[in-house]
Amino acid sequence: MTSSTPPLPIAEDTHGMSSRGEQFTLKDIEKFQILDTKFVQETPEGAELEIRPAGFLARGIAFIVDELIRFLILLVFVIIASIVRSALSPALSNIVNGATLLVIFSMSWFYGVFFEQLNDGKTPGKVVSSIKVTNAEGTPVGIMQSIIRNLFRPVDSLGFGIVGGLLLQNAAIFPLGLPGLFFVLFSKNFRRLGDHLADTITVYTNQPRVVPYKGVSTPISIPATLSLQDQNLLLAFQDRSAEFSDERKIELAEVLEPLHRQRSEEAVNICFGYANSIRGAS
Amino acid sequence: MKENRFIHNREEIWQTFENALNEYERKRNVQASTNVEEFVDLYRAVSHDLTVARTRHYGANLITRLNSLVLRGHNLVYVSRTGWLENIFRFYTNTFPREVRKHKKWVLTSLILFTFPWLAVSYCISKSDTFIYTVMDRSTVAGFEQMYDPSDARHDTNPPASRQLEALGGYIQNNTSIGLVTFVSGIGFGLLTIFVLLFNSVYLGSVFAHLTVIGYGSTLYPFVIGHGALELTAIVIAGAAGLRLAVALYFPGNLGRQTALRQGIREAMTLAAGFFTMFILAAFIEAFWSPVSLPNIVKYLVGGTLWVLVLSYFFFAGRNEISRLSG
Repeated sequence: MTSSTPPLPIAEDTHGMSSRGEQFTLKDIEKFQILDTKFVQETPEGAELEIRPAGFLARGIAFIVDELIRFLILLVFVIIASIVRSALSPALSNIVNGATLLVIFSMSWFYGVFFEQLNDGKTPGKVVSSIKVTNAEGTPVGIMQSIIRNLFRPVDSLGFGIVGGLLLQNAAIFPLGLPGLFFVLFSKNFRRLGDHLADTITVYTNQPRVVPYKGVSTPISIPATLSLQDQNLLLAFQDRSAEFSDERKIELAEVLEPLHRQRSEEAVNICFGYANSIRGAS
Repeated sequence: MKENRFIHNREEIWQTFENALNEYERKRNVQASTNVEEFVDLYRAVSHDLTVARTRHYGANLITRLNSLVLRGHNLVYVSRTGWLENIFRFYTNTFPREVRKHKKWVLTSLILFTFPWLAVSYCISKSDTFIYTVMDRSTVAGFEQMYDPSDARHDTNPPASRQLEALGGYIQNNTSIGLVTFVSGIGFGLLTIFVLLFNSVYLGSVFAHLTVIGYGSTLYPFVIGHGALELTAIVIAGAAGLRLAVALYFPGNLGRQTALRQGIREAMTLAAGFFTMFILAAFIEAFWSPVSLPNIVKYLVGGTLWVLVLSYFFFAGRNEISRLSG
């Protein structure tokens, strides 16, 4: 720190106004992390992996798409069967009937297993919403896990869709609703009953966007002692600057006005300079 | 070390690792590769870099990038191979019958639940001509009567192959699904499992007793004795598997309920794989052997042999292994 400006205790004193007028300080960032659904899994090598469980909406979309696909496949078979029945010999229509029953059977129990094993944990519905099934520790889902979580699907989707109807049709009990919905909404990492039992988890497949900061600005030494967290904040600001509008960048950079005493574009550049000084010259 | 210097130093390794990842993800198999050791070394190096980058609080972009590299590597290195598919032979000659014996408490419970109502309704129907109509309606009863009417010429001819194929599809879909539902519904504290067992017991018991009383046994028993050996035992085992799940919920012992349940499922899955196979086999017998028109004595002999085989399979198969291990 070679600057002549006296160091400022940033974390305590700096504050700004959010767009809705609430006051916040840099320390509040800690609280925001509670909102994050990411969790960290330690590998045997001691590295920590970030895993992002897929939320209710993504899983719901995947479920609906899969149900539609199942339904369409069945529909096609039933239509073929009825055409064959009217147009061809009774012998051929018998065989088509038998095949339809086998398709219903495998659709109900093995649709998920089939795709999860062949396509790295992704059924067509999951491909649509960019999620996939993995074991709880983030490894590709095993065949046993896959079978278990799909065996218990009728319990999760009790009364809904082709599979959910299985339990009701065979046991003739009154629809109880959708236990899967309850489990997804009320358990950690949005796991349905089948996930809990098989110890699997559904995660996002799309990695967070990495847009490296391309601009050049020279390192500027920081006229204050920054805590690690504050330093990270500056780095994150630079890393994510491509996602922000210019106005937002300025708004954020001006939070540090007590430190750099600049406004608008100049403030942004100085903050980038600070970040560069943390990163070191390249 | 500052972040940019670190990137400068390590970039080449990350690039090499990323290229290797792209290649292996396409082939989906690291183990088959010749430079697997080189790959694992790279994986360790990048894992280390991720840890270093985290500890030194480098920028989020760098950490995200390393995290995604390590995650991809992790998924290639730690593919779980449970190996039970590879051991199919061992499973059927050994593991399955042993697991059934190990869970004999639940197999017996399930057996009692499945046979007692059967015997009870049989007794009632033998005493009262009209009792059957308290269990099912007239048209269902008439349907069964028509199906097994000994005067029907259908029983003297073999059904065409196409009819048999259709029946096969139906048996697989219906019976196996009932078995799986019996098992899976054990998760609802076993109530549904018990209900399915009792329901099927009463239903089948009524049909059997009624047809016997009206003198249709000569067409019914030769038909069912063959596949019954596998199908009826399979339903009992499915019930036992369902009860095993429920037991984990009621009596988790020293374990948490979730852990107890997972352990219960792991054990019950062995039973499930077994009864699943039995239902499929039974469907084939029911479709292709049971309706074949042969002298009753042949049907009884073959069916009886199947019963003896199935029962001795559960009593004796896989015992050698135990004595070899313990002695």
